[in-house]
Parts: sequence; structure tokens; C-alpha cells
Amino acid sequence: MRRMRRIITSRTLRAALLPLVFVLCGAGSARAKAPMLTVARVQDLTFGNVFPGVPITVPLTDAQAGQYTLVNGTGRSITAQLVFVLPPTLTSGGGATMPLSFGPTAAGFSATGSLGSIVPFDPSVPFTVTVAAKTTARVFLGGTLQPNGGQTAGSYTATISLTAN
Amino acid sequence: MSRTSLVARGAATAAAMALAFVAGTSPLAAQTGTINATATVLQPITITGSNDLQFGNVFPGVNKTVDYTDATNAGQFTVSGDGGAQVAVSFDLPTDLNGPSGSTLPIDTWTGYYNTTNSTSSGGSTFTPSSSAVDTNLSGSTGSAGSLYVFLGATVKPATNQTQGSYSNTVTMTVAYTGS
Amino acid sequence: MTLRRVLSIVSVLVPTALSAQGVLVAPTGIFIDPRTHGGSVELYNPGSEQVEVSISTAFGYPVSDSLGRVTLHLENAPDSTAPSAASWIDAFPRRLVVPAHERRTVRLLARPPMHLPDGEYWARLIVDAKGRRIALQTPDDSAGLHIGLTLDVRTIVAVFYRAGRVHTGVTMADTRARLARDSVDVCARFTRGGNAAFLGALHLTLARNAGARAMTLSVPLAVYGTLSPCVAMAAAALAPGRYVVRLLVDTDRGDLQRSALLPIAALRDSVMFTVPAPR
Repeated sequence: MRRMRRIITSRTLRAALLPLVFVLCGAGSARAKAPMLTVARVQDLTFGNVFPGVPITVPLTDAQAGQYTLVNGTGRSITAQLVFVLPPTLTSGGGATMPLSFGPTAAGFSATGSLGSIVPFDPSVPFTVTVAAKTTARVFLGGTLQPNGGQTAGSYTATISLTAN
Repeated sequence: MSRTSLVARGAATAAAMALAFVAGTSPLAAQTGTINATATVLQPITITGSNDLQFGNVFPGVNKTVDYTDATNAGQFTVSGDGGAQVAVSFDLPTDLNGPSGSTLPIDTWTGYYNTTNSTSSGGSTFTPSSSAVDTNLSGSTGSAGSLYVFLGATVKPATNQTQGSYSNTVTMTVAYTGS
Repeated sequence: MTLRRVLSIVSVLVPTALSAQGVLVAPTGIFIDPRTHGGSVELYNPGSEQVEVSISTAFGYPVSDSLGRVTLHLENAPDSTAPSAASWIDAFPRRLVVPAHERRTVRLLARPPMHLPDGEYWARLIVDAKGRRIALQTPDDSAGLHIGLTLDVRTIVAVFYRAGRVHTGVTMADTRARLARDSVDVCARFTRGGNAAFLGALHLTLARNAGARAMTLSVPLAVYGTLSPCVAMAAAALAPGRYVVRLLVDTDRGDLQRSALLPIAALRDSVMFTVPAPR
């Protein structure tokens, strides 16, 4: 009887573990291929010409808003957490800075990539999204610049990164 | 429950989770994309007519003067731009105001004051507004916000038989940026 | 407006008086070359009512008079030897309405003559802005008159067309300082070299002779030919004694795009003056 139980147990374990090993190996090989969700730049967040002392806001739906794509090339939907690294200022070549801020609806996620299906979110906190299989979603980003009254003329820039975890 | 059955149940759960992991939504390795935020600051010059020159009610045959120090009725312009910006200020001034049915009313004796602060009491300079330019600088130094305030007064001289009604015209202040 | 960008009401730069009407013009120097064929100027209405704007061009450049005052010399019909771009730089549109708190872009298109020699060609962009007319009340006395004047504004900024290789230079001479009633007037004569206007700055530092600096002042400097400006440094509280004013000319300008500034080697000079003891 004890021998019988031992056989059952080992068979049960084997039955349970085999698919696990298979699955993990399969997942591993899938992960070893190209990234499953690719984050790519579409366009910069462009404020254009601005004037000292005159704040300017680019809404997330504006043609000048920043844009990324989230490409899911797999046959499975993927859930990811979006995390921005947002610079507090733009900087000129001469080292001058200009305050940059992002409101609670400055960012937007569109599962289909179209403006009509944007879901706004706060870019300063992580935001969870799901990208369906074989689709390209988009992330939009607006912002507000606040040049001071004596802002030095010239070109200003900063880098904004978006990570999908 | 026996130890072996616990192990078996745990393994089965893990397998189920792994299946769900692959068949359903999946976590992934972190992927990062970057964009730039860009802007170009253009240095502007802003000229504003802050306060019209108003004489209010005037009576025929009685001259009326609005002094540039009159905070309510004097004309006031404000110029804003880069600190220390060099500007030449001149005026197109009417000699008559236009009233009802083509009637006119003389205006002259223009007086002016410019200052880098919004005050007519001290720190600025008096001048006679005309088409000849006055050169001056906005407050401050380049790289900071600069301002210039210009105040304007004049005298109207209605005739004793002046046609009653409203009389008006336009003063144009020209600010030429002479720093470039 | 092609972009749906939102410009907030001006907080610092532009006054916010209720009746204020005017226009912001930027930049104050517009640079065009054969590669770009054009440029643009931005207009912004900081007021609460629409402004009608008309644009024109003329040939002109800063000049100084015998007292060191700098004004703008405008010529409506410059002769053929003048480096004028006024007749072949067009603005589009030439007339427009700028609603309250909105901005508009005016495009400048250059159509230079064929075989234009290398060098810089100049024009002035004249921006006339008319706001609402003054609202006069009916006189409150049967014999009365009601009188008021509307204030309009005109802004003039520089346009430069640079053909081929352009370079500039500047010399400084005849530096002097004289004590006025409540200021020190520092004067110098600047002469331009090269084939383009010199755009830079004059930095003045006033100090007690061999002592610590008492005052600094930086002013823009634009030399198209010869310019003899006098710059007043406020000096009401200077104690009697010998003073020195140091002059530095360079291209450090915060109001113009750096890439448009033609380089020079910095110029330096100094001049002494005395504040006499009271009698």
C-alpha cells in the first residue's frame, strides 16, 4: 500500500511538473526572441516658438504632442506598466533652464493608436495598460512650459523616456 | 493532508499559473523609448496702449489740459522686452480731433514722460512727444525682463461755438528696436 | 491658428490693464538666407480684445546724432547702392486680425535679385496694431463735448538677408566719459568692418580708480556703418574721486539667436573721469 502511494505520488508530481517544465521552456524560448512589446519614438513633444513670460501648454491631443508606439508583435495580449522619466526643465546649449511641468491628464494611452480612443492618465505615476495581440498602441504626452520673464533666447531641449515594465 | 499531496497540489498550481502566464496577458522585460521635448525662445518686444488719453466732458470756449501725471486720464503706453533693450520712441500726433458732421477741435501742447518704472514722480525723464524719436533703454540688463513706461498729456482748445458731441482721434506710438 | 497650443494669459512680460491693447512681436531680429528663402515673425495679442495688424517693410538701420542718441534711420526710397532688402522681402499676410490671447505667424518670403553679391541686406519690418476705438459717452451736459484719443502702437524690428559668405568686424575709438547731472555718459565711436552688420553688446564696468567695481551695465550694440553712441550710467551717489570705466564689446546677446551672431574678437578699452569735491 505504501509502495502504491509512492507510485501515485510520483506520477502525480510528474504529471503536474511536466507541463510546467514545458511551459517554462516554451516561455523562455519565446522571451529569447525579439522583445514582445517594443517602445518606440514617433515624434518629439514640440513647443515651437515661445516667448519669455508667456506660459504655453501643448495638450496631449495636439499635433505637437509627443508620441510613442507600443508594438505587440506576439499572438498574445500583453499587460505592462508605463513609467515616464520626466525632466523638470528644458535646457539650452548655454546652460539656461526653463521649467517644464505635466498635469494629471498630460499623458494618454490609445489601445488602437487613434486619437478617438485616448485614455488620459497622469504621467508622473505608473499606469498599467494592456496591448492586444498583434496590435500597435500609442502613448501621447503633452506638457506645459513656463518661461520666465527674462528667459534667454535660444533652443532648449530635454529627453523624456518611457519604460514599459 | 500528506506532504506528498501538498507538493503535488503546489506543483499543479505553479503549472496552472505558468499556463495562464503564457496563454493570457504576460509580463515582459522592460523596454524603453525616448523622445525629446523642444522649444525655441524668441525674444519679443511688446508695446501696449495701456490707457487711452481721456479728456472727459469739456465745455466750449474752455481749454482743458490732461497732464501726463494724471493717473486716470493720461495716455499710457508700456513697452516690454529684453532687459536693457535699446529703443527709439516716436509719435504720430493729431493736430485736430474729429467730431460730429465733420467738425474738428484743436489739440496741442503735448507733454510726455518716460520711465523704467510705472511712475511719473521720479526716476524718469520728461520729453516733448513728436515724430522725432527719443532713444532710451528698457530697465535691467539683457537676459532679464525689461520695461519702459511712457505717459502722455495734451491740451484741447474748443472754440466758444464748438459743435456739441463726441470728438476723438488716434495717437500712434512707434517703438523701433535699435539694438539690432 | 494651425496648432491648438494654448497660450496662457501673460503673467510677467505683458501688462494686464483692462483697457490694454497692443501686440507682442518676436523675434526682434529675423535672419534669412538663400537656403531658407524666408523666415517668420510671431504675433501675440496679450489684450482682451482683437487687434488689427498690418505689416510693411522699409529700408533702415540705427544711426547716432551728435549727442550720442541712437535712433532709426528709415528710407522709403533708398538708392540702388544701399544694401536694401525692403523691396524684395514680402510678408504674408500683410493684414490680419489677432484675436484676444491668440497668436499668429507672419511668413516672410525673400525674392532677391539674381547674382546678388555676397553680403548682408537689410530691411525693417513695421508692424502696425490697432485695437478697439475709444468709446466716448454722450456728453452729460447739453452744451458739453466729450473728448478722448485712442492709442495705437507700431513696432519696428530688423530683418537681415545674408547672401553667400558674410563676416563682420568692429573697431572702437574715441572713448570718453563725462559726468552729467546724475549720470556718467560713456561715449565711443564704433566702425563696422566686413560685409555684415555687427550685432553685439557693450558692457560697461564703473569702478573707483584701482578699487572694487561700483556698477555694471550691458546694452545692445548694432553697428551698420559708423555709430557714436553715448550710454548713461546712473551715478547720482558717486563720492568725489577718480573713477575708471572699462568697456568690453563682444557678441553676448540674450535677445538674438546665438547661431545668427557673427563672431568677432572682443574689444576692450577704459576711460577715466573725476567726480569733483563739492565746493
